[in-house]
Amino acid sequence: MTAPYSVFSTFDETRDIVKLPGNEVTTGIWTGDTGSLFEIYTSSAQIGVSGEFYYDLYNANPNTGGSDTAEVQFAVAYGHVSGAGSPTLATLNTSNLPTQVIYAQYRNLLLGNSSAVFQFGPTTALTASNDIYVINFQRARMRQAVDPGNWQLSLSGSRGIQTFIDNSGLTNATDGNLSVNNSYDVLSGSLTAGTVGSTYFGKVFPDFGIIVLNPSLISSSVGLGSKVNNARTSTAYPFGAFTGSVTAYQYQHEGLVRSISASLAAGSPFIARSAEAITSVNYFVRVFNQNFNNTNNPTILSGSSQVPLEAFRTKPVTYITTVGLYNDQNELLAVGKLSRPLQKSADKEATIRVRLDY
Amino acid sequence: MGYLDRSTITVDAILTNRGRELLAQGTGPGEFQITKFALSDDEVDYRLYNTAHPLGSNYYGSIIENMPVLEATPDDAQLMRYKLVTVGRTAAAGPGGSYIVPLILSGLTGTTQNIYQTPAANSSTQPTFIEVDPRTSYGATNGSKETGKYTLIVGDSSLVSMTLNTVYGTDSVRVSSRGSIVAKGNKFKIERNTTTGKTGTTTVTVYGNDSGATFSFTLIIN
Repeated sequence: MTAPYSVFSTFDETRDIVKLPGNEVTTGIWTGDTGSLFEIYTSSAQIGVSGEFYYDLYNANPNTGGSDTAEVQFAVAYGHVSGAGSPTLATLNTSNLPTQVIYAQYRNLLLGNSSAVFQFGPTTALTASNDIYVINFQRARMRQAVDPGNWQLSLSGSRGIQTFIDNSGLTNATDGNLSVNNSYDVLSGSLTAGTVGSTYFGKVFPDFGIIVLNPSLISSSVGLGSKVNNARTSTAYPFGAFTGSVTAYQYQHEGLVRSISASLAAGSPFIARSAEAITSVNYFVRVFNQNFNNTNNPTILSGSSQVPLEAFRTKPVTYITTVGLYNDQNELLAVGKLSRPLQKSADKEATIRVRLDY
Repeated sequence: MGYLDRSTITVDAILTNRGRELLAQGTGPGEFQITKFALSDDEVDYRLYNTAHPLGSNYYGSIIENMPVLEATPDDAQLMRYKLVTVGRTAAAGPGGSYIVPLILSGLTGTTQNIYQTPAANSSTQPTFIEVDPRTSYGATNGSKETGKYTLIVGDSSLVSMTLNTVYGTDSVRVSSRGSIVAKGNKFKIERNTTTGKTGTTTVTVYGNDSGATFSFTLIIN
């Protein structure tokens, strides 16, 4: 005769399973969940392949011994609406028009259809910008979004180190000319003191993990170097975006990278947090007194028989260490471990709340 | 007078590999839907339950209760090895009314089995497959089939193959993300993998879906 043994207990869906609303979790955005980045490195390999479009910035030197731990933290790019900074096809028939590509790429991603150019400023006084700097957080770093109001970018130039934050603490998400609602303006300021002044240097799009900056305003405010042809090869210092006619790729974004790197080296880190909405479901595992008092654990066997050790024959005792959550096909979908074994017997009941985040 | 402890034990769960697979598939047939639970005592050695403890009966299980428990890992084929069991009132009892620990009778002889990728011609001693026809003993010699049938897990899918055959008794077969074969049903046929032609050794484990009883054997593919 088949004994009515059972190892599964079915949840009462209305009583035992409680789905909680999304809970936002934030953490440091950089590798190791740190919130402050003090060093950045470029990769010669990446620059060799796609450096005219963007630079990936690493937390350790990917070109040397740090390559094992080097992870991309963010990327920096420069775009121009009509391709300034890129040689035209008439000048260089293999030109990829990287600056025009970058501008078009982010315009398509972030702006509404009717908007031909990025505009910065209060909605009543928007200023168009034909070019943009873009800081793009690595998706794995930001998880779901960059936490608005909790990032601070430091830039270094001839006017010293300046810091920039968003104004999310001041206003709600703005619409403006953007199809993406969840954006905020970038102003001068710091996380400790808040925004300073009324100059709008750019916009941050937290859900995309993108900061778009106005190169002209950034350059004049921070004091980036001369905007000349081939500045990248003629100067070691941060340089502004040259928008004249060129015969070679200008790597305009390298000027901003140098500015960020110099500020980090001076002890002013790039601070940011990631944000993620976690869905939690609580499963109430109700272990009634008559249930789960016996075990298949072979250590309970008395010798080679199918009978438990003497101590467990008249008053069975078990110890719960693991809770498994299953579907109808008996597939183990989630598992939780107790911090210590929980004794179970016919005179004991227990309720174990198993929380599953995903 | 103190306050009664009304706290509920809280446990943080992690998704298993299979849970991640189903969650990634989204909604639809076989979607991620938790409907039931099981409990296990993996890691516990009941021989440490000491009825001769010098401090008395309250301390019989103190060694077990104070042991540290390891973190959960996501490999669903390795977890919940020894499940706790609810025994109904009609279950047959052992000596003194005690619980009878269920036992899988595999129909196999020995705990090591052999199959052959390239058997010798006309050889009756070099099979290319084995059949696993489990039954569960609750004390009786012959045992019986479980209502909830059985789950069979082969550790390495590159060595052997299994096919779904409901007439034969195998209701479902899938290969997990970790490369194990997971099959469900009443009867199973494990064959050589002619696609890979590989030889090697793997472990086969059979679980009773009602009783939680387990049986493992080593399968050598020659």
